[in-house]
Amino acid sequence: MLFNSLHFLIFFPIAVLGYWILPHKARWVWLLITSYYFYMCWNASYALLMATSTVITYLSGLLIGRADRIKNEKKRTKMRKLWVFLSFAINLSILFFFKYFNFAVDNLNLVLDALHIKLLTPDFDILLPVGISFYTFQALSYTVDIYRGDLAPERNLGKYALFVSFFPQLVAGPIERSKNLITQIHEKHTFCYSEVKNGLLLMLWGFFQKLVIADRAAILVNQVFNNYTEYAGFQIAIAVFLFAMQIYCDFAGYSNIAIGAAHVMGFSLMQNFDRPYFSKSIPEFWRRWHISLSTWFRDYLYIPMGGNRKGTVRKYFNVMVTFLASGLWHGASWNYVAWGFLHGLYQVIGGILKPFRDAVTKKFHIDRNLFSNKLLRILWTFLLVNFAWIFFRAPGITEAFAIIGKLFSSFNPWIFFDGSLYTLGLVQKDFWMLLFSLVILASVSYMQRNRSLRERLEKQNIIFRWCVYFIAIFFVLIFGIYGPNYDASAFIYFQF
Amino acid sequence: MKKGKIIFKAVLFIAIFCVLFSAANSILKRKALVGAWNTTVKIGGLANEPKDSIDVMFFGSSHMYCSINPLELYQKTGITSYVYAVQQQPIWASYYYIIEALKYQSPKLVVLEMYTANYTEEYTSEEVNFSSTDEIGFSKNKIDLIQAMVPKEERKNHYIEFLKYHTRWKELTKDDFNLNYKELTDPNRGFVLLETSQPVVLNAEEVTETAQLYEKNLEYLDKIIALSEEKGFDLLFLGSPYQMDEEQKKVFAAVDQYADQNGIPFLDYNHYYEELGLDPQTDYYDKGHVNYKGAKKVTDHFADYLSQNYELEDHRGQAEYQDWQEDYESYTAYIKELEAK
Repeated sequence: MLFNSLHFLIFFPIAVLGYWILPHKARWVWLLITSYYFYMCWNASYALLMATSTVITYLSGLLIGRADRIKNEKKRTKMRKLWVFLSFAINLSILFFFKYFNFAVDNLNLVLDALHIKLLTPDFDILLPVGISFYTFQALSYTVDIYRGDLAPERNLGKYALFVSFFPQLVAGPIERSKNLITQIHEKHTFCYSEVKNGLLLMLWGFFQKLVIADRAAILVNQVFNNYTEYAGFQIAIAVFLFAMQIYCDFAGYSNIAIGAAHVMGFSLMQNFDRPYFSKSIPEFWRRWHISLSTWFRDYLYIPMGGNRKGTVRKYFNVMVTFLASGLWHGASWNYVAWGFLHGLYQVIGGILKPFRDAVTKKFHIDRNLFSNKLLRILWTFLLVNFAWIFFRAPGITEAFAIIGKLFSSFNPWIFFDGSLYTLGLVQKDFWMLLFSLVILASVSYMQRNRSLRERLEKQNIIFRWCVYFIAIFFVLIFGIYGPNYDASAFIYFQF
Repeated sequence: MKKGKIIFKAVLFIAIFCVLFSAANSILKRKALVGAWNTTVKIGGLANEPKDSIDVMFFGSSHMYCSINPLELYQKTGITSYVYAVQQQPIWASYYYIIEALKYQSPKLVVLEMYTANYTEEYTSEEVNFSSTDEIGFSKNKIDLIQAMVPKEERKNHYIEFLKYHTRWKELTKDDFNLNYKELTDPNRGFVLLETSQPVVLNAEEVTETAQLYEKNLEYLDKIIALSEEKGFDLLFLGSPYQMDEEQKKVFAAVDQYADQNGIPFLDYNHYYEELGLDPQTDYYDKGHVNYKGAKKVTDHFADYLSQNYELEDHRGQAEYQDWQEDYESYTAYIKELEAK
């Protein structure tokens, strides 16, 4: 079930109430049951797939633990590596089959076709299991963590299964680290009123981001991107800008709901987004965007490949590989690969130009701490990120180039004044509601730079606080995009 | 914080939420309060009529609510009546509308218009579903109505109307903030006054074949008959006069047969164009519906039919029914003004 569904609105309070009412010993069982129920609401049979990944990584942990006790050092190393290899091979094969098989077959056929070889290949109708990329990566991190000795192997299969399936972060992250989450599954949580409240508030903020901003922006973005030939210049630019807002609010909103939901049950998950559009460089952007994924790639791919310890050329190579992999992780399509490639390229070029930029800064006595300088860097970074988003959102790679062509094909600033702004899919009132919500988002993000807003709110008196809560709740309920479409004219017809 | 205090705060919070939610729900809910099709007033208004003051109740679709004018019927016979119908209301909705009406009134006679016997789909369109369920207050009967009327996956939007109507914030008007709308009554007693006219072609030719009645219609007709036996009201099927095609005539022939088998009278005005004296040039709003002039002719005939076949009380001159007379006078004044234009 999705977080923004009626189903979840009923499921969540039951899950939470049950959790706090049950004694500590039974809580993990309850969470495991509710988590599997949560997952099976999409597709019951795919829960078997998740269970398979669970069992394999669970066994890998036990087997690595047993290999650790082998006296013969050579044999020990060999066995440990074997188990890691098997765990990765099996899990990635499953992921590959369900997510990338058709993509691979299509591309293979293209190559063979170019060589004038005809190969008939079956095109499986594979339905992508929800969240497979997320839980597979989370489960794999466990294998590596055990291998590295960061954590003792978990013996209780049930508790381990809960680590893989914990419903708040199961389908869209944050991708938790085994050390953090498994430890918390063992811990006894005591009910804390202010933590529960803070969790609920974070969920509310997430719902605002998702329902009010992301889903509203999506209406315009879909209209323009899916019919890009009809638009040009600033119309495309607006859609690209709003897509940046949409994907941030969609993803960060979902993460916030996940973190908040876990918090309500006394779990603290890692932060996943740290106001990324205020970044002053691309590497900084990646330290603040989808943090749980970028650190995963850093810890389990970039650093094992040598990171930046093997010379500059090797570092750039590692950066490119990491970002290409990240692109592919996001979807089995060339436009995601291109998106990852661009982000890698940004960083390589940035690295190559760094001595030059430093020289210029020194020569002209530029103060990099000035507000204007920071603002400029933030805007430039945002622009680069936006440009890459075009590849992410476009239906395909050729379309992405066509959209970029349309972006520069016309200089049409009058669209801001002649009302055609409101023909991009959002009527005037919705458009202004979107802008107003973005102002709220920006203000809150700006205020968050020093201290948590929730802490500051907690210091206010109860009447003020409750007013804020109710205004926020009803703002989301009324201005959120959900439910069936209401079209007044359908009722007007209809006079008969 | 102490357990008791937490529970107290939670309960208080939920209580305030419920109050605010119900206010927001009332404001945002779709309302039809003005114009000829002010169905919110017409349907909601029945509850505000004096209890057990209505002797004849009419159910059906638009064909019902434009054909019989309760004020004219009262003027002519002193019989009180009310039209409890919304547009395209299918027979299965009429069944629950009868149950709903019985909460407020004890009619001696229930009249069911049969146009929607033509339906052959299990579910009507989303808008019809909404306009039929929206006007009924929340109760077990409403749940039953939704179960019968709405496809499973859409039912939640009817239990929680806010899911659909929260987007109406863009079109709120002054009327939406008038939360007294639930106390309004309809002087026309459910009748929809159609003013304009359009020529139609009436075809009195009879058909010999009969169609098969759709099973969901049959199921609910059976239920309505059972209900009439249980509650002790008389039942009458009505066919309002409209421009029919051949298929529709076959369906009405089947209704005739069904009525016959069950001992229910079926008064199909499509056989009485002459007796009614309907003028196809002036008496129709469109090919499906008579306008107020046509309605007067149908009502006049129906008044005679009632007098001949039923013993219903003449309320004219009774003090409690004074408002009927006043409403009739306002109505005729309005018509006079209309015709002077």
